[in-house]
Amino acid sequence: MIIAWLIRDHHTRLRVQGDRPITAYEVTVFLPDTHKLKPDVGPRAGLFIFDKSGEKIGYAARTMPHAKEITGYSGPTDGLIVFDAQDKVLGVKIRDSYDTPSHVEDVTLDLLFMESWNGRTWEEIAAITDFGAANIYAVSGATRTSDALVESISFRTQMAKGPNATVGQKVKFRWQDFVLIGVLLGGCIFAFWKSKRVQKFRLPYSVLSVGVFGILLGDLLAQSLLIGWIESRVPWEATPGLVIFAAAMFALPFFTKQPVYCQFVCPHGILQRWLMKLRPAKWMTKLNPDIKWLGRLIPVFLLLLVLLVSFFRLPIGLAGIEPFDAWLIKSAGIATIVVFGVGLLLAFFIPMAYCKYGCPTGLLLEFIRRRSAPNSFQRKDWVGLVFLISAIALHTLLK
Amino acid sequence: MKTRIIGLLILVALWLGIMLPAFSEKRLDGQVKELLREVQTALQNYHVDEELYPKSKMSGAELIGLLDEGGYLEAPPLNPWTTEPYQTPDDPIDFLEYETDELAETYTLIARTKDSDEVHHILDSTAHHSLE
Repeated sequence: MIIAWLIRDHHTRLRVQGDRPITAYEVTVFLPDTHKLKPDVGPRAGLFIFDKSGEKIGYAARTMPHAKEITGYSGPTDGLIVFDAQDKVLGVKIRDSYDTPSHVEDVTLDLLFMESWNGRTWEEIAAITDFGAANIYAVSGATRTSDALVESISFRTQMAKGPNATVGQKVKFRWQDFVLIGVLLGGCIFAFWKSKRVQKFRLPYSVLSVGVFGILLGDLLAQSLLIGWIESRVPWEATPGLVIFAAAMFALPFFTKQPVYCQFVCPHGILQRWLMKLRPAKWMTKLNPDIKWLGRLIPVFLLLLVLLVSFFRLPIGLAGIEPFDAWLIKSAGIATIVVFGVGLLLAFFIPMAYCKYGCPTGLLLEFIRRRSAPNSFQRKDWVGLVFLISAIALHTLLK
Repeated sequence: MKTRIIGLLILVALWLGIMLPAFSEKRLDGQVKELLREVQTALQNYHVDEELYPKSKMSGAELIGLLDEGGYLEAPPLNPWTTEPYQTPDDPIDFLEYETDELAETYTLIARTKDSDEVHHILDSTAHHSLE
């Protein structure tokens, strides 16, 4: 949970700050007591400004990258807007501009223009539709650059009410959501109700899981899905069924110690189980303990890769480290198909090979399930601790 | 124990084999963006003096040579693909291209992906202005 929070916080910061983060030093021009900036995860997507005592003393926002489509003479202008604690503008500054430097300088030196927003609140600026009526006039000789700044600030403040604002979006259940909840309930029935009368329906349930959950929906839990949710937001409004499904699959092993997803629901696991039953007994290969030990490290390395890819935004598609996207054949890349094929091929010789020696999502679920007794610290806890320390270090270093 | 150590080393090597190219690609991407930004600023300064952009299509090395000669660059930028100073007017490893219209009123800077013809980044004076 802490690692997920650290990743989320890091990406919120990147989203709010873009490639050129606002620094506390920049803000001190307007608010000399500025000590710390904290990203606002709300629709304004700016930064809260705090003084040394931790008191909120203002708010800052930059127009880029949100307003990058608004251009002046030859490109967008990145403006910094600083508000005081009463939400009134203290000042505006041009941080950077793609426009001709001499035009930018003309705008910067025109104090009457640069102070046009001072004293207005965020809402008041967002409500401006006629700039002339609001006494905001372009700078003569640098009209396009100053107009671009005006429009960028206007766009940036209106953005809080636009498509990025989540307020007002309604939760929409579609048939796929009900199917997922059905799959979840089915998995729970077989995990918790051990009577023979119930268990005899496990095969038809498995067939349904493979056919409907796997092939038709393709919504298997995967690192690419989970990390996407952590980095941005959980799409509760668009796919409520999948969110409920994923939340339950993580909560159930934690509270009940039942590996519901891996054991009963995951179509990839079911397929491997079927292969295991189909293959002749003589094909079974017994791995020596050293190979088993090494194999169990593979998912650990993959999780470490996920952590680094997320923090550094590395150009590695996380769908390629797991086979789950191959269930939706249309969207599968070569790496995914290779992992899918090799995993199933190995399952012919080594029971549940991919689940045991390849699946990072399975490792994560197993880690949650086998949480230690309160007074013992086991090897997997050390692994968890290393991940936590790594995440804290990356979060701090990349600030 | 020996098997485990050898196996672990192989695993680490494979893992690094995936991670290092990704880090290198990420670093190159940053350097290409930086180059484009520097060249773009220089082109704007050129335009202020000449009222037009450079008039013909040319390679990145040629463009950098021209801009450097005219004093429009603060310092000659490094070639991101070689991490060495650009060999002007002709650098054999150069994936940057400059294009302009007939009247030299607009420009397009294209950075292609190494070893393929794909456009990696594009900056032009009419549509793609920002790399952020």
